[in-house]
Amino acid sequence: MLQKQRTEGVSMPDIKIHEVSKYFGKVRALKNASLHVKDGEYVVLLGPSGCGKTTLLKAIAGIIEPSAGKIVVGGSDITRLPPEDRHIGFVFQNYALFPHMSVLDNASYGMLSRGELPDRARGVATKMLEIVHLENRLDALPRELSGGMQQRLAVGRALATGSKLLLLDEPTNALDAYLRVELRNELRKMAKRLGLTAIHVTHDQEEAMAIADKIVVMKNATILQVGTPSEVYDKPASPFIANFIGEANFFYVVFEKGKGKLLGKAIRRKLEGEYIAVIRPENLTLGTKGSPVKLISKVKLGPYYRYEVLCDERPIKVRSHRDCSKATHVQFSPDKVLFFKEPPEGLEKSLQATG
Amino acid sequence: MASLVDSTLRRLDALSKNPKYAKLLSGISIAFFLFFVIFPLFFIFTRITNFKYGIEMQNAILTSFFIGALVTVIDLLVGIPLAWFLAHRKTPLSGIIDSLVDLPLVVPSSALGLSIALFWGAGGISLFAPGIELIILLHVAITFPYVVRTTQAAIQEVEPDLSRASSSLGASPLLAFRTIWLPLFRAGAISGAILALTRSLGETGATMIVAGAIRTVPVLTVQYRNAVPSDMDSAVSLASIFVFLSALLFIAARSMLGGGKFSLGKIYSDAEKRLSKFSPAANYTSLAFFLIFVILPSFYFLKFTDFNFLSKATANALFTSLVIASIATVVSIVFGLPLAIYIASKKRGSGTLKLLANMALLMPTVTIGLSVFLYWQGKIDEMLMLVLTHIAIICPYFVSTVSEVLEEMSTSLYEVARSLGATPLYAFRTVIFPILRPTFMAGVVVAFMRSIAETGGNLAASKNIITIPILIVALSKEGKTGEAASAAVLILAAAIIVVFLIRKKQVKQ
Repeated sequence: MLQKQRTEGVSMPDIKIHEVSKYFGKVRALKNASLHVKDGEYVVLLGPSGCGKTTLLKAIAGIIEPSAGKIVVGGSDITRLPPEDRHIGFVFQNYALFPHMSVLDNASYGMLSRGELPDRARGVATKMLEIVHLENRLDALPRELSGGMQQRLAVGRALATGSKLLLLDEPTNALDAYLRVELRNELRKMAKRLGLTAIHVTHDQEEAMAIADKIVVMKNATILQVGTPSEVYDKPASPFIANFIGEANFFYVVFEKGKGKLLGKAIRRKLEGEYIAVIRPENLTLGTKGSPVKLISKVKLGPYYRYEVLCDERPIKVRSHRDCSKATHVQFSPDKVLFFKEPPEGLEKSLQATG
Repeated sequence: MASLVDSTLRRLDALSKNPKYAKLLSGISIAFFLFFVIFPLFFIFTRITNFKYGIEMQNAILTSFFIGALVTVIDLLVGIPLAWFLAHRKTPLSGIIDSLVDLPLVVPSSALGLSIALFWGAGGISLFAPGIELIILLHVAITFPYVVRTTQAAIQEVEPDLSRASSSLGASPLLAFRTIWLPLFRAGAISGAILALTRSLGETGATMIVAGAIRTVPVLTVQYRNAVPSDMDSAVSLASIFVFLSALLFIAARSMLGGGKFSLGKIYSDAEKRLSKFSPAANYTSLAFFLIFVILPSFYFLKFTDFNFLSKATANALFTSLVIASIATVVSIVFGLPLAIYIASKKRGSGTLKLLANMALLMPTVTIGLSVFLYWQGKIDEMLMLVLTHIAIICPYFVSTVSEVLEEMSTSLYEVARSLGATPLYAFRTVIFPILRPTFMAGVVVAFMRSIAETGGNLAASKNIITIPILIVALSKEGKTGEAASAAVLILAAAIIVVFLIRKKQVKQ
């Protein structure tokens, strides 16, 4: 009888994903995804619904089997290994807490199912529950806990498996906005403190920017860009990414002999032909110099103002910390402009989240 | 004509705005329910003038419970794996088995009893003569759908992510079954087991065909009642004991399952939904399989029919059965629907009414028949007594299924309709009822067929009126197998026609 291969608490869960694809019938959920997650990294898979991020996560967990490709963890090929042998901590989107078991029993399940002695399992579980601040609710049932507590239990349960790899499927989705911010920060802190490698799926770009070491931007079953938050924000690989992470204003600029016109001002780049220029709202300044504009709306979003102005009959979004209600013109910082070639499907279509 | 109906409806719609009328309707329904359904259940106790208890009764009680317990255990041992298989696999084979499981709900029990007696006995394999083995085989066939269906529903209700969670935490499939699945679907299996047990305890007609010399409680009760000279004291005593034990069983069931979860209405309403989709032939191979392995032994009796369908006795019996079933069903709907609405709206007392309806479902029909007879004896004629018995049997069933479905329905639909200007009746008939209709129709079907197949209640309520199931039992006992088989064909044909008629109506929507 074949000895079942089990990855025992690999201390260097370096994950290499090679050209993984997944089809559900005719539907392509994942296409040639390749990724390298280093030991101890906090990686966020970011993208709109249906982009394949959850499929990729589940493939790493073994819940889904890839149609093609390889997944290697710590040097071992685990592509065909069943989930119970992978020693991975998985946090489900709707938590999947065992309704008939107490908090402590839920958390101990990982160790007990691997044959650990009950006392030791409960001990480890209790320690993990302390880390997620649930030490006072050990005997409670999941339905007695609030949403935030349930999420923490789901995380604690995954941690108590002793695994060094934590996979999180949209863990803050079901929480109130305030809790979301609090808990995502706690997740990162905890992962760093315990020296874990984490792969975290979300559609919330703010969440990704706040806690990721590395962001993997996905759309339509493909990985579009991998980079740090700064890289992805300051150097997006496409108009879609520029628009999906942060806000963007789009303009068409035609360059002739390296010279073009943007918002009525001359601009020089080593480019030729028609390009799409992207300027972020915070890189525009409202004042008395530049192109003439008409103010349409002003909204105070807490620390800053968000303006919508009309310039040459087209709406532009501007952000400022100051009150610019009396402004008449808009200016841009020339070194903060990004240029892209028009995508094959057209700009408008490429900005859509699906399709 | 259409405009007359329309204007009447409009006037009724307007009337419904006045809460007085709703209260009146609810009041009448509740009063009807309490007097004609609940009262007979307990009336029997007041007729105990000379309490008798003997060794014969004791044996019958022990026999009934022994059979019931054994049948329930067999049902669980076979039914749980079957339910698991049906809940998880969607192969063509599972489709065949799915229809197979519904069969006892379609075939009237007397026909089934006749078939089983013939198949296993002298007419077929000659393995068993009438006696306890046949009773057990019969009861298992009749009751195992309850266990399979409730368990299957409970399994399907378990959140699918839970098993993925357990495997991601390192649990092998067997460990996951033991620690996650079993505790979560256990309640469903137990509900099914309780239904199976009570169904077995109360089963009369078919049991009489296969029992031989064995006496179960319902069979013995009928024997006492029909004895010459009439041993009513013994009949009443035994029936009272039976009601008492059934009530205990109900209380035990509720405490085992924790109040709210134990709801028979849900079980029957699921069964009905399936019944309305009953289809033995998914494709040709499954049809062939179904014909070969399911038709016999359930339909073995067809071999013996003497094709004399229009004999005076059978024609009369069929007519009687249809008349009683029709009247009882209509009355049950007329008074049951407002009651079901009242219960679903959670007004004062609805909890108690629901409890009573659930309890009534578990009560043996023999005792209901006896109660009705004793109360109305001499005041009304036998036919009417039979109708009242059937109403008492069918109505709680209809009420609990419909109220269950109504409760599950989102109240916001009704509220939206009202906010858009609809009067209560208008909102009900244009929004609620269309959604309710499939279950409602299926409920009507099963109520009707329950009435046609009912034997125990008939035998207890009336000595002289012969319905089709009673005819089958009588003919079978006289050895007139051919005629009995013909009668069974008729009752089966009636059942199939009714099912297909309803299905046709469903498909039309």
